[in-house]
Amino acid sequence: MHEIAWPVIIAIYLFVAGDGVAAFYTGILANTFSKGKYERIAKIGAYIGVPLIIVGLLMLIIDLGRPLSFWHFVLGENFLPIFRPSSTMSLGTWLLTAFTVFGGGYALTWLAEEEFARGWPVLKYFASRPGLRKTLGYLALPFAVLIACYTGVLLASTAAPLWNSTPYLGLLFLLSATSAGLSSIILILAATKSDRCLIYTFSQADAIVDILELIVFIILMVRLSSAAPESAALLLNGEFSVLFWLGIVAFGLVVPLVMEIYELASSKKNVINTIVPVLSAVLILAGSFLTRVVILYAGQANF
Amino acid sequence: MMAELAMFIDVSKCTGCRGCQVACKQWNELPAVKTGFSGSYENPPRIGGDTWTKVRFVEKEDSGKMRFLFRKEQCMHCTEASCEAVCAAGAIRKTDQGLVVLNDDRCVGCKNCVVACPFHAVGLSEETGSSRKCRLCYERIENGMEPACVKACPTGAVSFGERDQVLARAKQRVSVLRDSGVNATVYGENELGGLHVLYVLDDEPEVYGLPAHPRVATAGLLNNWLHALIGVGVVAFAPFWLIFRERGKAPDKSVGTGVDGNA
Ligand code: SF4
Ligand code: SF4
Repeated sequence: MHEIAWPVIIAIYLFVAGDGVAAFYTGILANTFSKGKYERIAKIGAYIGVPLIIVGLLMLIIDLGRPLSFWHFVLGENFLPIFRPSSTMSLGTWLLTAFTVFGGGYALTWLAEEEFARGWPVLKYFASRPGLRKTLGYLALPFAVLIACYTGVLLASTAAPLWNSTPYLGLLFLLSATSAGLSSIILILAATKSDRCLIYTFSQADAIVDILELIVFIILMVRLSSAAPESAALLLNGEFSVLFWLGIVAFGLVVPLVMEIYELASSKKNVINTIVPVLSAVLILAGSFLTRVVILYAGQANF
Repeated sequence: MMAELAMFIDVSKCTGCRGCQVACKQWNELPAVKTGFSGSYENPPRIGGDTWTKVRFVEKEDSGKMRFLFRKEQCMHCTEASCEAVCAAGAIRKTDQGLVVLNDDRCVGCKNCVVACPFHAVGLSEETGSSRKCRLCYERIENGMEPACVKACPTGAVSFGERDQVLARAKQRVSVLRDSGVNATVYGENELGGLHVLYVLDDEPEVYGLPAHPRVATAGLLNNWLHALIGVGVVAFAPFWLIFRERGKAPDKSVGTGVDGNA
């Protein structure tokens, strides 16, 4: 067994970054496609997304051997910005930077309109600026989407067979992030006692992403089993099999999916409280985190 | 343009004395690492930021007879160097002579190169917080000396020179070994665009812990992005467009104002 170069702190980074941007693009996309019906979701998405990205960046920096040199990622020897296209880490750093700027500005346009923030010095430039908000939101959107993919692609551009033997890791992490983002929004909606129909709608979206994720997971495992059988075995019946089957597959994907479908099927008839969507959202979030942890550690166990 | 250089390691001449290992530690002033007994005299168990070269010990049973095999391992100075490709800080550069050199001052210790190297030849140093690896003693070479490990090797298993000549010598040695019935091969001629450490092996690469077909870490990058971007399209359609699209009803509120309590 090899030493662990990227420890759990990197799994946290990959998780919060993916979850954060997904909450963000969920809000923007839902609001755009509905022609402005989901403004509140867009706001919630920004409030979840931007702080999580900042937490993620902190995690990334804490894990460095030399945290104080982190700026070497963006500034070269001559103090000019550096971007290295062959380096996924370099690309990711710039995506995160761009998202923090545009998404951060977008979140400020919401913050500026909150009661408690009225009269804060800089914020007033962001208040009542629907045009600015729209522009910043759309500028941040592509970066948010690319970051969700990047968290998987980062692992794929390495020497670990479990990570680099299939072309699906970016896709898997995108889907896992999206269902985590939707679940985060569901939890906020439930915590703020929002309309049950609204929670129902998001639960429905979450179920669809959950199904897509299951399909991709299966394709990935089939491909991995032929391309890197030893790596696949680590998950399927080796060291990580309990976490994989029980944690990720059963409680992270199948159980919440069954719960969501049950709930959606019965929602028309019953006046149900929001326990089912909340519970399934919590399970999905935990499963999504566990996916990062297990893939990160199993990848390093046999490379 | 200067001629490319290469180290030449003939495993059939290595006795596992580990003189190279000690010479490397001394010349580069690398600290000792605490290790335990791993079941073999191989020590330390792996290359790392504070151990840039070591001799790998392999025990192999061949028709009832135990063979002890030794291979000095270190950075291979790949032409398609994964470490260089993935480093976001631009801390790793390839020289005209084919050496891959890691600039300690630029490294931030993100360990991306550590997980990207197909030979596990680079590691994080506890001492410096940066990643470190063999740099083929390029400062010694610049001053007309051989790398420290080459100088130390008592059996001539490790040598050094211009890559073309080294390759010719390696091939010669292979034919000599083959004539005496050994299944010998050259490793590193074409792997990853050509390595600047060439081996003569007397068994399959895997036996010596070398990947038969090493891949550059960035090989799957485009394919991964492609699939992820298709996924973006799918997700944008289902669930987002399918579930959230406006189905004819006009939105019941004006855009851009504060918060709508119910949606
Ligand atoms: S062997 Fe590893 S560390 Fe050395 S040049 Fe190749 S990829 Fe880089
Ligand atoms: S650990 Fe240092 S040399 Fe390796 S990729 Fe990160 S910054 Fe570059």
